[in-house]
Amino acid sequence: MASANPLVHVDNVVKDFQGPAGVIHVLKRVSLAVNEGEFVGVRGPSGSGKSTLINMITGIDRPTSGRVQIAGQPIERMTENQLARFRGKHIGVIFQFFQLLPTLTVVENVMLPMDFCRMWKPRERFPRAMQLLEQVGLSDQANKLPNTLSGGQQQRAAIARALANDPPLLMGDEPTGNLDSHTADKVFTLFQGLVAQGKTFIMVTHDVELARRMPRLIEVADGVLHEATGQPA
Amino acid sequence: MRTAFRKVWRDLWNNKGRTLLVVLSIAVGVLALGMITASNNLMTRQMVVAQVASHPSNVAMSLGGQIDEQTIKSLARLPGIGEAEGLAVFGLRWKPTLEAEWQQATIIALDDYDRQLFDVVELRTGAWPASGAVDVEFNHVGPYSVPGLGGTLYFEVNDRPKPFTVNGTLRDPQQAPPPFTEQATFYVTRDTLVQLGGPSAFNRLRFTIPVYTEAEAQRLADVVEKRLNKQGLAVGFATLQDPQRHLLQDLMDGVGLVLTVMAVLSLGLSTILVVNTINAVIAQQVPQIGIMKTIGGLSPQIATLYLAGVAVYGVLSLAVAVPLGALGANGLAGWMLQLINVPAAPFEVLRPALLYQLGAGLLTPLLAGAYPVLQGVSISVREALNAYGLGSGRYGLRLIDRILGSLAGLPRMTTLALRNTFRRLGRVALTQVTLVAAGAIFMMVLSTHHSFNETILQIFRGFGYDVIIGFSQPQRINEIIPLIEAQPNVAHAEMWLFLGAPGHVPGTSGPGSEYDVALRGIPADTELYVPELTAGRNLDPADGHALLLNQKLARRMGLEVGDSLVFDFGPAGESTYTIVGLIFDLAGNDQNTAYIHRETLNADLNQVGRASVAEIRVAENTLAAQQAMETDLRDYFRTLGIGLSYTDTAAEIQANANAQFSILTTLLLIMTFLIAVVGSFGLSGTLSINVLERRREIGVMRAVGASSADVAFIFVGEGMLLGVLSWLAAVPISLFAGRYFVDALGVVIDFPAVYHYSLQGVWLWLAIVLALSLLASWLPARRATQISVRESLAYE
Repeated sequence: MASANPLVHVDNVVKDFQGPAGVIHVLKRVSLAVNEGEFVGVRGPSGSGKSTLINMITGIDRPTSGRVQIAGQPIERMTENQLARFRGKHIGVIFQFFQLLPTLTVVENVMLPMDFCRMWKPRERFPRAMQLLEQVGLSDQANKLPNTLSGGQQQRAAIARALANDPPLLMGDEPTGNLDSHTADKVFTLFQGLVAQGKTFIMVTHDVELARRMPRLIEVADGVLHEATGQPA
Repeated sequence: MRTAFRKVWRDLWNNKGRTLLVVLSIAVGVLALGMITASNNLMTRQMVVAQVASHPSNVAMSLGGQIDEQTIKSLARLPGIGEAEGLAVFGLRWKPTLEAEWQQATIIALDDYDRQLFDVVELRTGAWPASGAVDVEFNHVGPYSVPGLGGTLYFEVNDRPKPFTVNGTLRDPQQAPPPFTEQATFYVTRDTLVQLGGPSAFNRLRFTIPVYTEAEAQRLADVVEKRLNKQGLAVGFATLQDPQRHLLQDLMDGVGLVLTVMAVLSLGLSTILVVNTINAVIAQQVPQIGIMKTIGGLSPQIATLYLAGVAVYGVLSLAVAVPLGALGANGLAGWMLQLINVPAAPFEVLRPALLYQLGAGLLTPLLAGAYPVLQGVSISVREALNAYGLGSGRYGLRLIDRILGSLAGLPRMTTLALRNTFRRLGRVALTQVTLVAAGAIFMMVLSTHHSFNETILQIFRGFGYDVIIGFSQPQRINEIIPLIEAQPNVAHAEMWLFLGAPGHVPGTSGPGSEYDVALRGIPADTELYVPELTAGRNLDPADGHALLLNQKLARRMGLEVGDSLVFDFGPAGESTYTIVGLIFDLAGNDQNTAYIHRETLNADLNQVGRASVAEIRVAENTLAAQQAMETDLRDYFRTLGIGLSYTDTAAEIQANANAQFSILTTLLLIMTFLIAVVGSFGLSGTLSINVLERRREIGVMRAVGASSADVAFIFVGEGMLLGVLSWLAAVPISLFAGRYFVDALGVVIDFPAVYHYSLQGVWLWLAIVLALSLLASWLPARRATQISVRESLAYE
């Protein structure tokens, strides 16, 4: 049930793309409210618009019309720099292919968002990064380069990076999509732990098993959202 | 941000090949700029130092007779003259061993080597000349095979070889090494000169004026000449010398200017190359830019990171360019100073050149990188994360894509190489700029060389002679010509009358109004002389006092066709001639020649049937035949007791002239080489980046069966195609711009060459650019073949 002040509020968002064959309506007046502390899964077939929905929420892309509010802030009107700063402080993004910077070590990747957003005093950043790596079980890999780690380790490093500035909202675009089932399960358990600590987590997934474990599931089909109960989201 | 800057450094370190390429690209331009500006400064400074150190005379005169010390002292007492000194110069034959052939030499005798007043000769090794012992200009030892210190050489005295010991070597600021001189110069005492048959008094006069101005020097030269004329002595020519400026300063300044322009061009092309490379670097970094923006990075922060990386390129380039530039500058300056017999300074790094290099090395990459970086970081997060780096998936929509797409019948791999070449038009264009520039400049430089050589050839064809004999005294034409024509292998012979005379514009007088003119009295029916006319017409046999004037002298005097010129023939009085044509002529002292009818000149001189020079055309026209004719005639006239002042062959004079211009074209080719290096770096860089961007495609090709040779062929094919395309573009540019280049260079070095395009240069550049393209594409192609399927298809 949506509270009066949901952390994420997507209101009548339309997203169209101009293709060679004409306009493609990817999201059709979708609305979504996610409260603080919720763990929400987003599922749908390829091309259904779920990644586009995530991009709307993270501000990576802008709606053709409609509003997106994160923590009460309308992000669709922010400039790129405003969005970057807002995102760095309020949203932690976890990608399917990890997207760690290859020439920085694991701990440096985790410290990078703190540097950009000038969060924490400089001498506090390293201890905090190590603490986050400890939390995800990677403190002994802190000085390794990403390419030397396994997929699961890289994804845990990416999770630690997403937590760097202690954002209230975490977004994952198929964060377990590139992991084997055992590792995916471990990473998912991490996510559950973070939600238990008060984070809000929205995650796109194809994995049926994981989707079943989500307290709340949104189905995306043909640009329209439905709660897994069959009701509109 | 400290963490982020570690990314910058590691990106540079982990891509050493690319870093090296960018650093070298910048370094080439910075090196060229530093090397040329420093060498120009070193040369100019050293030329002034050498000039001042030699206590130069301000006026040097060659006399038609001899003067003694008394006369010199009286001239020195003339108002306005500082000091005066005489020297004796004599032409003689010598040989290094008894078995060798005789060669022509210049013998100079000074009054007192220990107490020279000006144009000071410095002792380098050994001791000053003494009785039975000679010194030699040190620059002439090697080229003319002069024996070493203590060795013996032979001068021809009374038709016999007389031995002399080599006592020392010295440096005479008035002498130049080959190819700027054609014979060795020796130094003797005055007594020795008399023993050799030379003058007992002085036939050269030098003096200084307290405060030098060109006008005052010319005025005093005229005064001294008139004084000598009253004593029945003619003056051959007078040279003015600015004490603060080397004689060849203007030429060196001109050459330096040309090289500086090329150095700046080289830097400009380096900059274009850097733009191209940084564009590609940013294109590769786009996904990482997207990530950084996702996690909170602002565009200015990210731009700062990448510009810091660019600045590091600049600093690294300085580490290469500064020391090499200093070495190159000192080396180049030393070489060029040696050519004009000026001692080089000790190794030095000049601060102005260093500052130019620092500025260029740091600012050039930052300016070049600013646009690509700022454009790259302005990309939206969505575009950045979705970028594939292959032209944004737009291939097939452009006209060129459709044209290339319609080409049929070519092998698949050739088609792929062809279409791949034009995927990134902007990148191709920037790559082509440097290659096309290098090619156009190379072909223009070769055309310049060809133009100089052809112009010289044309001029010498105009002279028509193969062998020239100068007599010590004017001879009777009707006696000498039969003697010459009786010799075997003589096709034709003519006698000309050479005379140096002062000329002035009618109605002018006073300081600076008189100019030394090298008059050439030619037969009215000459078969040898064909003038290189730049205005007006040739002399007509019916002409009386008509004149062909050297265009350079005409310009100095402000004269045109139709104007008159008055010559002062001393005791014979003055005579006025009308200019009927202007000619381009390299002969004379700084191109001061004028051609008139010989008999008209003889009449003005109150003499009949006399001439001072024989010009001979040889039937079998080879260098050996010319040299044999020269030797035979010299020996023949010597046996007849007819004194000769000089002999020479057209082939040797022409070879010397060509060699002098070759020095300039060598310098230009060095600069062209640097530009070609920049071009090949650009090509290699572009292909390397293409390989990186197409890793997935390569993996897919491998997955469907492409061999290493197939993959390599695509990239080598691309490289060779880009090379050939650049050649096709460079040829018409060089053809069109080459004319202006030759004209501009001609103005700089005061040699208006006729433009001749070098086809040899066109084919030579094709071969070079194909070789460069092959070399530039080899490494990227090899890297492409080493990409594994797994590695490339897993790459993000």
